[in-house]
Amino acid sequence: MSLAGQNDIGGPPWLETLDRSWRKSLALFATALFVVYVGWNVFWLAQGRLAPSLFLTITGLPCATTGCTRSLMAWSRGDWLAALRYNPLSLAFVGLLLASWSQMAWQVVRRKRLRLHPVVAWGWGVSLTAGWIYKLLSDPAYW
Amino acid sequence: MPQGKEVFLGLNQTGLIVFIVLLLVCAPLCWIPWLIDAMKADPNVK
Repeated sequence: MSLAGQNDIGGPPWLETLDRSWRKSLALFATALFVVYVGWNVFWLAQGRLAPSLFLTITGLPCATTGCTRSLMAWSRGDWLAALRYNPLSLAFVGLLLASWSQMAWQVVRRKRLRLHPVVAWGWGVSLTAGWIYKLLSDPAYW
Repeated sequence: MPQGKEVFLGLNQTGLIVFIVLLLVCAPLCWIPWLIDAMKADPNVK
């Protein structure tokens, strides 16, 4: 609280309460979702299988990275057409992953604060958005 | 630079929303918000 009933988000006290409740609910939702995600993976791994995409199971729709494993396996066989159909950005995602991890490793070695270079961060944002749009518009046989 | 109040484990509200979206649609990448300055909370903001 600050002066004259105002608070640090610049509104009346009830707005501050609402803002605090919203942030707590959001944090609670994130925690619950994380627990569900871990439980989902443990459930499948306990049966000796990789967990299918949670989002695909719930909504029936693919995610930006759905099909990456199949795409990379197709690349390794040299079947580039199937690789592009499963996920045309799989190699870009691998490249971004390597760039992110090598950057983080460098920052750890140099004892610097961990942060993604803005180019890499934008790369993730653009490629995930483009990948998702492509997957939603692509042939469901390759979801 | 980090900005805003901490909402969840060092993330501000934007970071937390991005974390939730990533957890839903691309969980193996949900660590990304912790590495982007604009999604980190400013420790000086209470």
